[in-house]
This record gives sequence, C-alpha cells and structure tokens, in this order.
Amino acid sequence: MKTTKICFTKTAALLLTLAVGWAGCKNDPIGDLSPQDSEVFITNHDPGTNFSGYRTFSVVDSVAVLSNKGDNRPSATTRELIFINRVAESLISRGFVQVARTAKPDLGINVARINNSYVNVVANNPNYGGYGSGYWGYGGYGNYYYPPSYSYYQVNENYWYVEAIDLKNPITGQNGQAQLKAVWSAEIRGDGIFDETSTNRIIDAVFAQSTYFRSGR
Amino acid sequence: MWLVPLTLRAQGYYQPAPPTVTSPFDRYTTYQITARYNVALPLGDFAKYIDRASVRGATITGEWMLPNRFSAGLQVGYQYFQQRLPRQIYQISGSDVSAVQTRTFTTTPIMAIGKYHLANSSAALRPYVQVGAGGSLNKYTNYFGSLSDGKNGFAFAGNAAVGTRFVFGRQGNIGADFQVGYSYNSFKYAYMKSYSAVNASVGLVYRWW
Repeated sequence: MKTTKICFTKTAALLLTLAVGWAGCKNDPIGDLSPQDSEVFITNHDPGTNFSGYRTFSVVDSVAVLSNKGDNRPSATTRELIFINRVAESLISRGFVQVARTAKPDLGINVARINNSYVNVVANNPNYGGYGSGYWGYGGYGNYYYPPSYSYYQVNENYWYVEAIDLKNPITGQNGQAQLKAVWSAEIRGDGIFDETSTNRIIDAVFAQSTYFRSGR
Repeated sequence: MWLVPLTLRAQGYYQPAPPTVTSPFDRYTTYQITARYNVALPLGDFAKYIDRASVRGATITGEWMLPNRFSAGLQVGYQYFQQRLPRQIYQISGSDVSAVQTRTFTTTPIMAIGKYHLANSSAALRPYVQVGAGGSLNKYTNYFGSLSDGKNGFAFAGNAAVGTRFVFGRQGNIGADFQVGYSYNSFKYAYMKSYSAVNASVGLVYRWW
C-alpha cells in the first residue's frame, strides 16, 4: 500500500516536469523574421494577355483606401504620391507612355491600400467598390472582371494593391454587361511596407517578378 | 546447538530447498513509465518539405510488463520541425509569390505499442524490438513571410524501433532507455505526401509492481 502511494507521487512529479517542459518550449517560428524578410510580393496576370499590345497608361491621382468595413475613401498623402509616382516610373522604364486619364490610355492603373480585418482567410478579389469603371470614363460598365486564376490571400492586415485594367479591349461579362478586365495585379504585404524608405524597393520587386509586363513599342 | 544440523547436512541427511531468488519482475505483470527526449531526421517525401533535423521532441510511454518476454502499452509523442528558406518566387495557383518561407511541421503520435524483449524482465540490460500503430495529430504551417498556409489533420501512424533498457540495480525502480527507430504517418498536404523520419531517443524509466 505504502509503495503504491510513493510510486504515484513520483509518477505525478514526472508528468508535471514533462508538462512544464512542454509549455516552456512553445514555438514562435516567425518571431525572428526581419521586416524585409516578412515581405511577400504576390503578382497575378491574365495568361491570355499579350502586354506588348499596350502602349499608353494612366495612373490614378490618389490612392483608394479600401476596407471591408465599407469606409472607402481616396487619399493622397506625400507617401502615397511617392508610391504612385514610382509605379508610373516603373511602367515608363518598361516602354509605356504616360498620358492623361482623358487621353484614352490603353491601361488604367489603380493603386489601393487595403485595410481589411477578416478573421478567416478568404479567396476573393479585392472590392474595388466605388473606384470602379466610372473613374476611367466607362460609366455604364459593371465591376472589373478578374480572371479566375487570380488568388488573393486575405487576412487581418494592411497591404498595398496595384492593378492594371485593360481600357482598350472591353469585354462582355457573364450577364451580358460590358466589363473592363484586370490584366495584372500585385499585392505587397509585410512589416514596414508603409515606410517611405521601402517604397522604391517594394515596387521594384513586383515589377522584377513580372518580366512579361513590357510594352512592345 | 547449530553444529548439529550442519553436521547432518554434511552427511546428506537434511537438504533444505534453495532460497527463492526469482525477482518479482519475473513473477508478476509489472508497470513501467518511460519519458524520452527525441531527435528526428526527416526521410523520403517529408525531407522534400523539411530536411533539417528536429531537436525538439519528447515521448511518454506507459507499459504493462508481462512476466514473459512481452510488454504492451500506450505511447504519446511530440516532434517539431522547422526550416527557413531564403527568398524565392513560387508559382501558386496562377500567382507568382515571392517570399521567405518558414516551414514547420508538428506531429503528435498516439500509439498502442508492443515489445519483444531479448532478456528476462529482471535483467539489468534488457534489449528489445518494438512496433507501434495508431494515429497522429499533425500541424502543417508554412509561413510565406508573415502570412501562413497550413492544415491540421489526423493521420494513420506507425513505428518500429530497437532499443535497450538499463536498470540501476537488479531490483531497482529507476533506469535509462536508449532507442532508435523509424516512424511514419500518412499526412498529406501541399509539399508533403507523407511523414517519415528516423528517430533516436534517450529516456528515463520508472518501473514498479
């Protein structure tokens, strides 16, 4: 009887030691990730599009701040204008010509800061909402058309979103409505992406991995 | 007085039974608990996801030690693997994703095990072969920068091992255990087709009856 009791105590002590040890080594796999290493650049493009067919582009004059809470608004702070400017410079270096929005550009470039707070990861396209076709002078058009191969990784965070809309070749959507197709999109995520000092680097990164995005001029 | 039986024995008139020396561990079903620290090296398809050895692992085993050469019990384990890959562009369902990947995998096998021992229960050094079967709770998380992709799932698991126990003192309750083995589970997701690894462990044994 006495022996059994001692054994039980020892067993309990052993289990307790193990449990404490277990809790002590909780893993934090990305705790040591530098802000630069935390950056993720995701680009999509329409596989059926030949980018050499475009010559001109126009970029939005302000950044759309979009959120799933519905409080969408335009914003044009210094850092946002720097961002827009770098996107334009990148396209010029790829052989495109920047024109005014009213001069019938081939490509319309939308820039957004997305401010979503989804609890779950959902596969969906970003809700470009009130900043749709109307801005580009295509008032009667519906929402943009996103090829089904595009994937979006939406979680609880803020990120930059840039897309190129084909204004040259409107398409007919499923319900017979005219639509503008998004031929390219980029998401920039990670820590420190809203610092002005990282603007050039992060925009260069998304263009670097989009080698096909080049004018044939 | 004592000279009398001694004399009788010497003359062959009186022969007492030899004293009983059989250990209770050889006579009864006894109990044993082993707590182990494990390391593991990925093999096969699993090594294509993570090829770095894991030094974060533990196992606890409770057994019924039969008076013959067999024992049976339950075993719960834990092993955590992690590996970071430099920045690379991955093609994922039509997208080009540039990221630093931090790949992680956790397996928590829960198994019924059986052992055949190559020595008696009371032997100080008692080598054995072991097989186990059951299931494993798995956690696969692959971080792309700070985004994560993963799946948690239960899968069939099995193991086979050889080892030896060493008790401190013939009748002692405390001992050590060394084991090497192979473990497998059928978890499948993204980069992983199954889990398999070579394990090595050192354990602390407590036995009683």
